[in-house]
Amino acid sequence: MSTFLYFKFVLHIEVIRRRIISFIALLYPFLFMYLPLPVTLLDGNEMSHDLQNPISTYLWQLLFFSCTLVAFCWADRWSRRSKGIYRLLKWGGYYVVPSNRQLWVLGLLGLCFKLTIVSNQYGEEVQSGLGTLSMFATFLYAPICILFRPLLEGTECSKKMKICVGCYIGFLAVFLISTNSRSQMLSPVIVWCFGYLMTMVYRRSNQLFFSFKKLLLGIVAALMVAGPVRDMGYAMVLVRSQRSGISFSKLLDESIETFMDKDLLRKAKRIEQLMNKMANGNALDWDEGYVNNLFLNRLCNYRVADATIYHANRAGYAHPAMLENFFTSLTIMFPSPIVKLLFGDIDKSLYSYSPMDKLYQINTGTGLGGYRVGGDVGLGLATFGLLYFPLMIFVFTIVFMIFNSVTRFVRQTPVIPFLTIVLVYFHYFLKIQVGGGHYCTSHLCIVGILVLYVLVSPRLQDNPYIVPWQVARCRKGGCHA
Amino acid sequence: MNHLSNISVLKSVLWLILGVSFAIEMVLYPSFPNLVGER
Repeated sequence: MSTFLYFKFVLHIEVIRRRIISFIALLYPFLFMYLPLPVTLLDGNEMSHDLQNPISTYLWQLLFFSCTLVAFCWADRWSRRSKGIYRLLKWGGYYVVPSNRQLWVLGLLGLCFKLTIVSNQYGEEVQSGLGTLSMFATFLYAPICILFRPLLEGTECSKKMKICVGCYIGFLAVFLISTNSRSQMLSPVIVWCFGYLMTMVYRRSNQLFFSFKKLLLGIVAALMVAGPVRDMGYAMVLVRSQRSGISFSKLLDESIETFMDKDLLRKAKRIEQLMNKMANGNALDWDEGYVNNLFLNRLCNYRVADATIYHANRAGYAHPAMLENFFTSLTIMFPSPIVKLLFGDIDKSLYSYSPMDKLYQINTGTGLGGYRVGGDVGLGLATFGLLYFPLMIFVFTIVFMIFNSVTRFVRQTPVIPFLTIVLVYFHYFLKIQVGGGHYCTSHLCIVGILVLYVLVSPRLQDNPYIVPWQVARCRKGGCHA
Repeated sequence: MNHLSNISVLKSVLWLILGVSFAIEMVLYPSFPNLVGER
């Protein structure tokens, strides 16, 4: 049913070209609905395996997906009429095209911020300001966009530059192993993949998407993900359990050491399987494993969606504690000084848990701080009750309208700002469906990054001394310098 | 034109995978969709 709806309303080349970012954002909910059936079969399981309420989970998920599609279609229609967000971004200089040198400088700045975050996040003490720094660290991926200069402004970069960027992507992939996060490790490659996807979508040549060479590369990549990359991901998960309090260089060493020790990996997998079997007796135990492949587990995880709905049913819909937790998370997502200024002295460290942790704690009395991943439907029902669905249509429509505005067309030629390519993976792709936080707060984070960039972008223009309000005046024709 | 044919091919392949998976699921696990879950 969801496949039919997706094919009918979204999967058309005109829609994809017109709303590429919204299409990418919607890709995750679609894969979430589509993949469970074939992937669980490949694992030798049935789709409903280990689910508490399979039927209600399927129906709630279908309703959620349909509401997302409604929001997508409304946003598509309204984005044609209303250009407010587009004008605001244009006024702020969002569509300014930086030079290659500026992209490299931004990348190096992002690298410095990332290095600061990585060297602090595993320490004994929690450092303040890391959330804000992580916004700046997004610029880490800026040099990758040099490869997609035709999307940015229409000119191709030199072969030498392409090799430099290729080496940078390789360096990032190795460096990001130290973050001990699978999604971070693969992020430079995925940013490249999304840039490539956009290039393909907007290319008007006679060449087919999937030539024989590309197909071969795709198969090699799939084998890598299924083999060595999967093992590396598993090694990271193993080391993650003991990462608190050790330096990041030691963490990197341990991850690689665990990856090399195939015997240890095999034993750990066996122990995990046994633990899962033992845990199956207790309905309240938390287990996020649905399919065997760690990466596909992120893309299709009905088990998490089902467990969240199960706990929402137990706690009751529109639970006051969940609502309070939602408003608190909205309050504390701003940087500490702003929180202090607007809402008084709030200790952020007291709220170091995910919404799913809170829901789990309501039912079991324990579990705060585990950063459990929760399904949007269950969390939404537990927080707002049935009001969640109209609310989500409203919020998603606005979000899709923002997504529709971060690309533009000049005489029917697409112009994709570099920040749009950079933000695709972490802020547009894996957001709707299952995650560690409230959907709303994660999207306000995007607004934060856009505001940040709008403040920075005028400095990217030729005149390094020009200030934002002068840029606005120049565009209106008032500057004669 | 090629883009259109690519999308059409993609849709057909996805329908095929879904159809075959559904058929296998019905044969291997006739209780699909399992009304009570496994637990």
